Amino acid sequence: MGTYITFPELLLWLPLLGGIACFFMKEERSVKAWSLVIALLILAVSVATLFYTDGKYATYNNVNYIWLKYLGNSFYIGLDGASRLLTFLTAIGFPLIFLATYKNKYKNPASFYGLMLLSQAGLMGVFISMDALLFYFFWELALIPVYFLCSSWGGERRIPATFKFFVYTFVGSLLMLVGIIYVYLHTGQRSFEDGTISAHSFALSSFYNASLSAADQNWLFWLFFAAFAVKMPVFPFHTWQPDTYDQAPTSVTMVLSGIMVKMGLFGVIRWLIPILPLATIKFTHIVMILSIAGMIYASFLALVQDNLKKLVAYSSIAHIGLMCAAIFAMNELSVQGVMLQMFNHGINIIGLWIVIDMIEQQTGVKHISKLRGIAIKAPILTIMLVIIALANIALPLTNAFVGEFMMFAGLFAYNTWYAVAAIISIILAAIYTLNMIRKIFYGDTNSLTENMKDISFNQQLVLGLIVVLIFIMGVYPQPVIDLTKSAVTNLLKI
Amino acid sequence: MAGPTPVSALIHAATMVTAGIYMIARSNILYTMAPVTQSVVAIVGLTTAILAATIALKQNDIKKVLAYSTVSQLGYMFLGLGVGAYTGAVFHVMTHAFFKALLFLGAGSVIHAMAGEQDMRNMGGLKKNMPVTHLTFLLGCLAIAGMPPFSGFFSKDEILAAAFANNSLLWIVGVIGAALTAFYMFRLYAMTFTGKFRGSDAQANHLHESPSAITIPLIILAILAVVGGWVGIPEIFVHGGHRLGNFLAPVFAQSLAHTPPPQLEHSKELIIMGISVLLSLIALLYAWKKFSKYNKGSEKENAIGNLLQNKWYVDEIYDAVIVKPLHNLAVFFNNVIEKNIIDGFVNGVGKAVNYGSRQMRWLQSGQVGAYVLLMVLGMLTLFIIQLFL
Repeated sequence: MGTYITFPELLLWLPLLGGIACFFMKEERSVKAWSLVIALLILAVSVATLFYTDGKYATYNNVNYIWLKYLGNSFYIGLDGASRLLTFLTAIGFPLIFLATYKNKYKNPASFYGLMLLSQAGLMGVFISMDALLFYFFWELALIPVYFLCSSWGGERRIPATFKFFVYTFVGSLLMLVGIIYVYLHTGQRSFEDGTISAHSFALSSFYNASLSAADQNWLFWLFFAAFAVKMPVFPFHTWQPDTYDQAPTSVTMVLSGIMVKMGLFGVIRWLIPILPLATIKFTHIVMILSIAGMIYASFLALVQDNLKKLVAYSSIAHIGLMCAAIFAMNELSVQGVMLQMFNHGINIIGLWIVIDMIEQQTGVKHISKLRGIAIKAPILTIMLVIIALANIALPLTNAFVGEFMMFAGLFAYNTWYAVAAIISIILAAIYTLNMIRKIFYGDTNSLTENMKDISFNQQLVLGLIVVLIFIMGVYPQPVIDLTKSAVTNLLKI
Repeated sequence: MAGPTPVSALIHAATMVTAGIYMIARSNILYTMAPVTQSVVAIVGLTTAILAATIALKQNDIKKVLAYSTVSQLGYMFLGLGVGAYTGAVFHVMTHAFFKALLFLGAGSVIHAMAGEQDMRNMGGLKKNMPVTHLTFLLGCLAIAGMPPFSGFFSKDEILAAAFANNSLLWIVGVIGAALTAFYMFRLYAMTFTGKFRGSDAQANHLHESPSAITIPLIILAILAVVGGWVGIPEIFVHGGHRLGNFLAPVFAQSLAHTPPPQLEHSKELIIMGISVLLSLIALLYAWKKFSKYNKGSEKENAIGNLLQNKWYVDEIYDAVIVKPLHNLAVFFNNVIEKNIIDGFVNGVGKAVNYGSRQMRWLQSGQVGAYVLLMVLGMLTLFIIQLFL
């Protein structure tokens, strides 16, 4: 143990140290190149992890240092199926974001890229932590850089938006911390290799075996759920999201919507359901109704948004609602669908933001009513966006179809009427997405769009890659299913 | 309908209509086992057939007439599925594909010759300028009107015969619809190809027969529209003539075993066939005669005419019943629930905290007297708690 550098350590230290190094750089070009190189290195490591999934490579995939031994805490990070998938999403998301926004100018680029990499480190940490204290630590570490990114580089109304975002998520986090402490006090003893014995333990396995009565679980459930629900977000905890997505710099929005919302879903899968199984069963219907009502509600709101960014934000709330409902349906089909869809949603929404960023960079507006006829000026951009948008409404051949189909099938098996209600939002999704395409891409150009140019080589590369991923995952998602299968079956055993 | 004409031909002849019919035909056993659902299918189909046919009566855009005729024919196919004539429905899909593709491409040829004009009121007398288009189009019209021995006759007859065996009311309405079909198709034919040319001089000079790239497909489709029905000749004419039925029998084997198709007496079958053909023929000749003499502005619209021209206001009804309420609901969600209630609550919590803090601030007034007073009050409280409680 710990003799070699292991995969989870690399995934964590590369962005952390790379991000810290960014702060000491002066030139914009070198910062950008450095962070891109770091992001690609992380991607390479993450790709490698996908090939070392077998049990005999356990020493490469897990690392456990004694840390605060009197608290029963250790620095235990490891990779299982779900972590591999989400760290891979994080690892592929950042280089795509860096590449797509390579030409964007930021004031003080050293801090910007440094903070971006730090938030990547936090995200990685969340997905690989096997220790509750560590998990909480990384949960906050992922949030704080984003706070600074939004409040320093955001749009005009960034300060109130960021404040709201921070208060919302921080309240949620603190409630979770209370929950973690309570569960911790109900865990058993832990003995370390050097003979130290602590009264309680923060280890994930101890949390799973904590002695909690049904009454305890009932209120603990809402403490944990508050943190995850705000992060996802689930209706009615979502109002921070459209404002924040709208005001944050687009690359940060991509991180937030593509990767960070998965923290909430992942938290539910790893830290909520297995620890509090009795309460989960008890509150399943409430959570499902919230999620599905939120789906329909958010889809309706998306119908009337004029601001492209808010449209995507509400559309994302609807999609996440479906994933949350599918997790609580608790059958193999639906949870496996969530695994697939967590990845797919991340890829697709990053693609959508990239397109919106390009439009905003060139025309200076993000309002549907002001844009027309972009297809004439930027055909490649249009083709790419149409493919991504069709993936967003889960057409067959695209990645989201597989995931959503599985989730709906699982939901249907759980309760027919929930599934029927949830399907309404698919219809609404088709309406708002196709309407948006029709309004901004078709027709004649106007004064804002007549000087638009088609996308640059970098952007073609990024969008092309996203489109390729959409089709690969849409046609042959089996490798991902194999990857996460054990994680799904483990969850359902509880 | 609004698409380019070859695309219209494709979706009307093949892709759009086949999907739904195929789906039900494939899952035929499900419908056979559920007679109520089957009746719903039949009634929806028949209603579609009649409504769309009446709309087609009053349209002046050549492609719109064809588009509504597709909807109407689709209704017949559903009627067939609903009365258990699965083979008949699939048969009609096939023959319809031939003549509808022919009619759309023929219409395209006309529109091409008219330099993009689609309004039949500006056409007329095109038969001398476009002989090939005219002849093939006429064959297509005869086929869709169900005239023997063209393809549409056999497939439509099979559906209507099954409808008669099921419920004679279905058959009566179906035959009326068939007569309407003959009427609107020959209205279209007569307004386009017979009578005087009513377009502008520029269009008159532009008139020409289309090149062979257009006419050859028309000829091929016309041949199919004529002979395409001969794969399903009913038993009363040729013994073992229903080759398509035999070909499809394995697909519908379960349904046929569950409810064997009712056998009509031959004399009855001939009579119902004769009535349907006769009525269609009358409608056909009447329309031909009437619209050969069509003049612009000669038609006065009454209330029913307006209703039909506006397609029974179906679009408007959908707009009022579905689109507008949904939009208003979305606006309500956005402006009231999202902004005022949810966000209002969230911001309210923030404001309450601020307000509370401002009120608490008065405790720290900076006046020594106030502090002494508070201290005394506090000590008194402690004494009381200690001594009496």
